[in-house]
Amino acid sequence: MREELVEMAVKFLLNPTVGRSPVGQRRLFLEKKGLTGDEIDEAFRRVPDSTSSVPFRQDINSSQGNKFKLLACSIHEIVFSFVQRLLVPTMYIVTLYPKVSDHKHILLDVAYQLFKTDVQLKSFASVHPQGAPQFSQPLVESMLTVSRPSQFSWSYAIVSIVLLIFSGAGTSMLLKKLFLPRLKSWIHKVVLEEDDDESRNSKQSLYKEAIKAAKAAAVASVDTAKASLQMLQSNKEEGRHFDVLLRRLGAHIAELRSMSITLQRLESARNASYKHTDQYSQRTSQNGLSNLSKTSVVHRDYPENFPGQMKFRTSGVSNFDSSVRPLSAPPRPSVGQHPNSYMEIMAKIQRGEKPPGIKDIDDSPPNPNQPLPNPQITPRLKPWEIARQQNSFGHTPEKVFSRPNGESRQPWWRRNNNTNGIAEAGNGMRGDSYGLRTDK
Amino acid sequence: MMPVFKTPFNGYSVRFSPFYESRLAVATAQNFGILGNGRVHVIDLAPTGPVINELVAFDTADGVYDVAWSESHDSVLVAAIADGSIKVYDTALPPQSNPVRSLKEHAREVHGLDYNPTRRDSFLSASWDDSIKLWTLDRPASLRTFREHAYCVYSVAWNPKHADVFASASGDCTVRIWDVREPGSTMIIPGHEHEILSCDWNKYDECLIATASVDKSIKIWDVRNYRVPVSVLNGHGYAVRKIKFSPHRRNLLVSCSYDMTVCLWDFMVEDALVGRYDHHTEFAVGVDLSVLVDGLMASTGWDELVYVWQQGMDPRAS
Repeated sequence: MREELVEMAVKFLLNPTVGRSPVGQRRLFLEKKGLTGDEIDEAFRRVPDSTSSVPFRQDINSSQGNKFKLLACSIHEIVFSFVQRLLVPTMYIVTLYPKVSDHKHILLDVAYQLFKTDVQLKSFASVHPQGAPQFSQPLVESMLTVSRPSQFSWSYAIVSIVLLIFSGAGTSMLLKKLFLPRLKSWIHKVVLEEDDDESRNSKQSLYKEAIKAAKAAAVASVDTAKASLQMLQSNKEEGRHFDVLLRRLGAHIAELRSMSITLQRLESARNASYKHTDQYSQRTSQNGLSNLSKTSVVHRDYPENFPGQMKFRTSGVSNFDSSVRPLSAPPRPSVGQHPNSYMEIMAKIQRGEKPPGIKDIDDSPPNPNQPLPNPQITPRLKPWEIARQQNSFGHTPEKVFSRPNGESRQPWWRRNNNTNGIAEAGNGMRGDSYGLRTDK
Repeated sequence: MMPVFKTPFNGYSVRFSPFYESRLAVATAQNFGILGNGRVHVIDLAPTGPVINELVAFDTADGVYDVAWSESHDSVLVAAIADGSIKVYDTALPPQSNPVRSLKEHAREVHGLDYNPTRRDSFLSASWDDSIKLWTLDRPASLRTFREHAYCVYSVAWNPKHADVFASASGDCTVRIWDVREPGSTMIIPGHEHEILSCDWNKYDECLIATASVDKSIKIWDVRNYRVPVSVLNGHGYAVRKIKFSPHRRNLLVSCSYDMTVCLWDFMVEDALVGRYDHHTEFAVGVDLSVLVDGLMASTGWDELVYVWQQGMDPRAS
C-alpha cells in the first residue's frame, strides 16, 4: 500500500467539492489515478463521512445553527413554488398580448433565471434520483433537512432575497404593463370611435367652409387690387395734370417777365429818343415851356408799333445829336459824357465791354471805429404825432414850425397857396383846396 | 421858380432831412445802376433863391440805390449800395473821413432803407437777396434778419404809430407785415398779380397801407381786412416805382412812375388823381415829401435831375 497515494486520496476526499459528488464517481476518479481498491478503501476509512454523500433530508440531528438555514431554505422553496405556479400562466398571457411583447423577453429571461436557479438549488437539495419537480414533497421534507455547508445557506439566503425582489418587481411590472394599458386602450378605442364619427362630419363641413372662405378672400383681394390699381392710375393722371399746369404757369411767368423787361427797355429807348427831341426843342424855342402842358392832366398816346417808330427816331435824332452838342455847356469832369441810352449800355455789357467812366473807388471806411457824432439838434415830433396829441388833449392847432428869428419873409420853399402845415386829422381834403388844376 | 439839381449819375432816390428843412440827400448810380460807380449827394436849398447847392458828395464803388437820414443824429445818413453793403456817412466830417461805417451782410444789392421815425434808433434794409435786416448805428452787425420773401424785397416802411411794426414789398407779389418782436411775419397780403415795388403806411391811420406795383396801380389796404383793398388808384401808364403818404395830410399820397410822371392822389375821393407832374424826361424813380414843410416835395429820375417844388406849383417854373 502506497502511503503517499492514500494521503493524497484522503486530501482529495476531504475536498468539499468532491464531497458533493457521488461516491462511485470518487472511486472511479481514484482508480483512474492508479490507486488500488485497498488504497481507496483505506482512504475512505480515513475520511470520516466520505462513504456516501449525505442526503439533505437524512440529516435528522440538525443543530441549533442550522435552524436559520432551514428557515431560509423553506422560505425560498415557498417563494419559488409560488412564483413557478404564477409564472407559467402569466407567460402564456403575456405572449398573447403583443403590446407587452417588449417586456416579454425580460419576463422570459427572469422566468428562465428563476428556473435555472431553482434547478440548481434542486440539484443541491437532492442528489436523490427522486429529485423531480415535486412541489409538495419538498415543502414537507424541508423540515427534516440535514445540515449543510454554511456557504450554501448564506448564498442561498442572498439569492432568495434577490429573487424575491425580482419577483415582486416582475409582478408589479406585469400589472402596470398589462392591465393598465389594457384599460386605457379599451377606453381610448371607445372614445376614438365616437370622435371619428364626429370628426368625419365636421371635417367635411369645415372643408367646405374653408373653401368658401378662401374663395371669398380671393375675390376680395382681387377687388382691392383692382381698386388700388385704379387709385394709382388716377394719381398718375393727377400728377400729369399738375405737371402740365406747372409747366404752363412757369411758361406764363417767364413770358410775363420777358414782356415787362422788353417793355421797360423799349420805353427807355423811346424816352431816350424823346429826350433828344425835347432838349433840342427846349434849346431852340425861347419860351419852350409854354408849349408843354405841365399841370393839367396829360394823356400820352403811345404808338402801338413801338419798335419801328423808335428805330426811326433814333436814326433821325442822331443828326440832331451832332448839331445839339455844340449848344450844350462844355462838359465838366463831374458831369461826364452825355448819357447813353439804357439799351445801349445793356447791349454793351452783354457784348462784354465795360461802359466808359467807371472808376476804381475805395469806399471802405478809413476808420471803422470812428465814433458817431453827438446829435446837435433834438429830434422833433412828427406832424402826425402832434396831431394825435392835440386830438387827445383837445388843443387848437398850432404852428409847429416857427419861423427863423429875424426873418420876416419865408424862404421860397415855404411860399405856398395851401393852408398851414398841420393836418386836421379826420378830414379829407377836397381836390379844389389843392389848387393844382388851375394854371399858374 | 423851382430849382433843379443836375447829378452826374442817374438818380435813384431823394430824401428830405428830418432835422433841416432845406436839406436833402440824393442817391445816384452810374449807367442806370447796371454797372458802375455811385454817389451820394447832400444838397441844400438856398433860402434866397431857387438854387440848390451841393454841400457834400460821397463817391462809392458801386451804385447807390437808396438813402435815408438818421432820426437821432442830424448829420448822419445811411446809403444802400448795389454791392450789398450799407454805408454810414457823417456830413459833419470831411469826405476823406467818410464813410464812418460799412455794414456788409447782404448777399445781393440793397434796394431800400427806412429809418424808424418813432424809436429813432434803428433802421431796416431791403435787399434783392430776399431778406430784410434790422440795424442800429452803434452795432457793426445786424440785429435781426427777416427771411420769408420768395423774391427780391424792394422796399420797407416802418409803421408811424407802432414802433415795432413794419411792412415789406417784394417781387414775389406780396406785402408782408412784420413785428420785430415776433419771429416771423404777422400778415401776408397778396396784393397784386405782379411785383410790388413800393409800400408806405398812412401817417394818420396806422392800419392803412398803400402798395405800388408793376401792374401800374396803387392799392390802399386796411390791414384789419386785407382781402379787399380800400381803394385802387389807376392812372399811371407804366409801373409805379415809389409812393409816399403825406406827413401832413391824411388822405394825400404821392407817386412816381416809369411813365416819367409824379402824381398826387387823394384816395378818399371818387376822382382820386389830384395832381400830375411830368417834368422828368426819363423814368421817375424817386419822390419824397418833406416832414418839416407842408407841401414841399422832391423827385429824381434817370434823367439825372433832382426837382424840389411846392405842391401846387410847377416844378419847372422859372
